Amino acid sequence: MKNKFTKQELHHIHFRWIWQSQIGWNYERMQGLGYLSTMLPAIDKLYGDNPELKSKALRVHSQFFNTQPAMGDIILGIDLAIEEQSPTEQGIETAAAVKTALMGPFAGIGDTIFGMITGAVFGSIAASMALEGSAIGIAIWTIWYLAVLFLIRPKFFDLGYKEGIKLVTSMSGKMNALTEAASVLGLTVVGCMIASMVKFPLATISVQISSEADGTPIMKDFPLQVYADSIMPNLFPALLAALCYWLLGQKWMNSNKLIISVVLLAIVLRVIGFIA
Amino acid sequence: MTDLNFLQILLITAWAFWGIIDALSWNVGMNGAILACLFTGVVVGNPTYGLIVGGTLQMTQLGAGTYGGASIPNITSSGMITTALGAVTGADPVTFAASIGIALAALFTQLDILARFSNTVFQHIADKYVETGNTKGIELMNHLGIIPWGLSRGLPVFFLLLFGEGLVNTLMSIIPQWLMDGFKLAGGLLPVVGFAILLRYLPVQKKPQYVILGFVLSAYMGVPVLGVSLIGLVAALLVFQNATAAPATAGVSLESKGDDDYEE
Repeated sequence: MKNKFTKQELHHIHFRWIWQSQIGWNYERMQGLGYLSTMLPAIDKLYGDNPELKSKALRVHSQFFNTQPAMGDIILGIDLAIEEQSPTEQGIETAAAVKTALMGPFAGIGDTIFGMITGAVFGSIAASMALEGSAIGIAIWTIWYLAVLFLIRPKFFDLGYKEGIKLVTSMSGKMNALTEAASVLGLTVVGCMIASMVKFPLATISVQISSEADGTPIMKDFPLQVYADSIMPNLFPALLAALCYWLLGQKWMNSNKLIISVVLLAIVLRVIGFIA
Repeated sequence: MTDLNFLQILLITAWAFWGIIDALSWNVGMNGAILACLFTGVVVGNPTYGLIVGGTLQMTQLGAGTYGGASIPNITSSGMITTALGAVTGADPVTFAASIGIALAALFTQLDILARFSNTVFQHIADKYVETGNTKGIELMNHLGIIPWGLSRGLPVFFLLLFGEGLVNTLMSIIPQWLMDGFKLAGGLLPVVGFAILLRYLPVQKKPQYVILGFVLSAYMGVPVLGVSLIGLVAALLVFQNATAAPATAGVSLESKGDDDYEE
């Protein structure tokens, strides 16, 4: 083992990744510029006395790169371990290949866990409490963000650096299990939120069924909400959710159009008096 | 009703500018709609208003993100504007968020695209520095990206807070009551969009039982969301333990527990 980086230098580079990975994000190279900028001190240290290798490293690390930033910690750690052990042309090429191979699958895992599932769970709790005027939910979410930044991300980076490329094989099973478990939690929470957060209050419709001899109308009330509840509580929120889910699967539909459609639906249903 | 003063506008603009930079880097949650709206509410002296606007808008986007660099409606900037203007003009927060908030959020998507596009200029300059080995220049180009990113959030917030109040007052006086009622109801329906988007990402067709579980716990038994989350966590832990206990069949779901796959 040839350790060229001190612990401090490693954490400094990781810190650079956290800060710089996406501030220069652009359509052409996405996080490529951020990755290159992150690696500058490492490139200086490893190839500073070899202009040819330095120039190659600069060019190779400016390639297209995009992944979920926290998962990028692992890739950065693996990259540093590879280049530290073999600061050669081949080492740089191996690192580049590893980056390219891992960024896609890691983005998939990271987006699911750090974006969708935690966003859904903490977001639902925070939003429903916020609607009641309570900031406790958003405080809980903020604590999670801090835990990711100060506990999970340093751990990810260390994992990548210490285990190197063999980590990928050893963790693939665990990561799949984690993603699957997280989606179970997400599904459960979404089911609950459909019932508790979608407000679809049906109106009571009065209909004239006949009139008395003197012409006074006899009205009958149809409390639609009571009928719906007798089938299933929150029947209409569930139906609307199923409809929206189906609509989003259609090629001509997107989330913006769906939002506008739901707003229009609400206005129409209100005007015809179907919802109260 | 009081007007926004310049200091308030600057504070809210600064949060909007830095919020997106935070989301791209440390990500302590400053760019979340609820926290940003809460901050705005505190600045204009009505934190509850901010919470309700933020909560209403967050509901349309649970678990949605800019995955792979896709742009999504910017409910954070729109929420901050909605909170500040709504609180001072006295509009109903849910109605206001479901109308102006949603419309602005969709409009601001274009600014996100513009920022991501503007940064390609810095990328091209950085490419030249790569050839000449100018590492300081590369680092500078990366940092210059902060400007388009921040402005794409800061500018609309600044200008709408500066000039938007009159516009909002006019809008509020010309929009008929039936339309306002419709928007208010839309505020109650809109969360369904967030859930539907989320379900598109989740393996709902493979594991519908957990959606049903969550729905029944809430609809029939009235368990609050935190309680359902804990029950969901129990299910998640079971799935995780089951999947990791048998490495050979890692990734197999709970339903197949107990199968004797000797032939494998």
